[in-house]
Amino acid sequence: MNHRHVIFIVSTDAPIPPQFDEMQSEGRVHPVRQDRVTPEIIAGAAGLIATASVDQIDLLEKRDAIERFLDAGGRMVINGHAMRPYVRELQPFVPLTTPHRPDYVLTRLANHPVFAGIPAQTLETNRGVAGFYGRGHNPPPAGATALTGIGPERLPVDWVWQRPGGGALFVHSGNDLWGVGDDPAVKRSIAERLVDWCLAGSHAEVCT
Amino acid sequence: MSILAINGGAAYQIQAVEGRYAPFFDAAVRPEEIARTNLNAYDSVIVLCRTPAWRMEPHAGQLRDYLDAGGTVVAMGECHSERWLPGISFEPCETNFWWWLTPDGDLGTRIAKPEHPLFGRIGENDIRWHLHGSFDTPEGAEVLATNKEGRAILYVDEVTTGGRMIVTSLDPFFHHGHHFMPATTRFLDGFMPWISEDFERKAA
Repeated sequence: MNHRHVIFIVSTDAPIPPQFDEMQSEGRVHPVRQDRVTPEIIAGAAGLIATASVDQIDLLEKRDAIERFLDAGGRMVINGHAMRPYVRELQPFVPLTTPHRPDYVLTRLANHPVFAGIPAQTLETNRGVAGFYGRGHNPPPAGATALTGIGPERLPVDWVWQRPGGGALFVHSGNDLWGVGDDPAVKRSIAERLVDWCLAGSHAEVCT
Repeated sequence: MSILAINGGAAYQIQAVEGRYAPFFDAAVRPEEIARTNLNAYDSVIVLCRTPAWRMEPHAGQLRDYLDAGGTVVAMGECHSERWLPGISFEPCETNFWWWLTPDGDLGTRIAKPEHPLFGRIGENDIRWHLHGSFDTPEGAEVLATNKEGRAILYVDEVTTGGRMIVTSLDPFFHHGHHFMPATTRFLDGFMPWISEDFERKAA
């Protein structure tokens, strides 16, 4: 089986975002409507990408398949607010309380290939308006690495977690990461790097 | 009044039924559970913002039966209700998220029927964040709010079926559930009591 592809979980009526078009045509990304994402499809992928609109009740029902995929070295990109523990260690989203502009300031806390050369500040606003990037955080599990902090407390709005049992999560606790900021090239680059990150996992290497 | 929510399981939909507006919902089911749900046990069925149409289309016949038996279906924004409810003509538009950055910017949304009970609960500032489209309404429908071209963005249709359809292109549950845009919370603070208190089941 060819594991060198990433499943983009399509959860709305909208098609896969254009930032992924080229990767789709190359076969690196397969968009699959969420109701058609079976345990076999999960097991056959190197990575999974969940948008901020993903049906988390459905993913919770598929948790065993997701965790088997992670155990085998799979990588998963998660956007949005965690409301269900579809990976056991996910904790419920914590919104900022009555946020003001300084509460949306982003600080890069650790380097990561997805963000290489992209200053956090360039993603902080869309047309000068802050708040699109994130409005709180999904609390990371012990051992995770915070990548981006939000607000003066630098709450972990982005983090990666090398799961002890295998596999890894890249979590962005806000609007879909390829849609933030104003630079179309950066958006495309983030989408490509998220896919590259998924494909760099051991699942992709071992299973090809 | 008893209200059933259709919960598609996205974060903002879960937030809608479990957060601030939880007391308004008597039950919530997933779209896939509609077939084994007795809709007639509820006065209203609310399909939350951004529920994919492909998850609602299989249930169009059952919803039509429920409507013809006197039920109320509330179809929120970005649900493509034209694909699973009868008599709906929706025209999407390019969404202007930035109108408010222009001095004296005006999205153009207007209350069409100020005397309507809903507008004893909310005002014009509470229907204004952005738009994803508008509707051609059937003869006899009650248009409550319009866009700048005067086309409906919120209306009540009691003529197409034996029941009532409340149809809008506004997507307040999405933004409220994403902790975004206070106008959407103000809208729901008036809209949900209106649905809850002002609608009783129509005689079949």
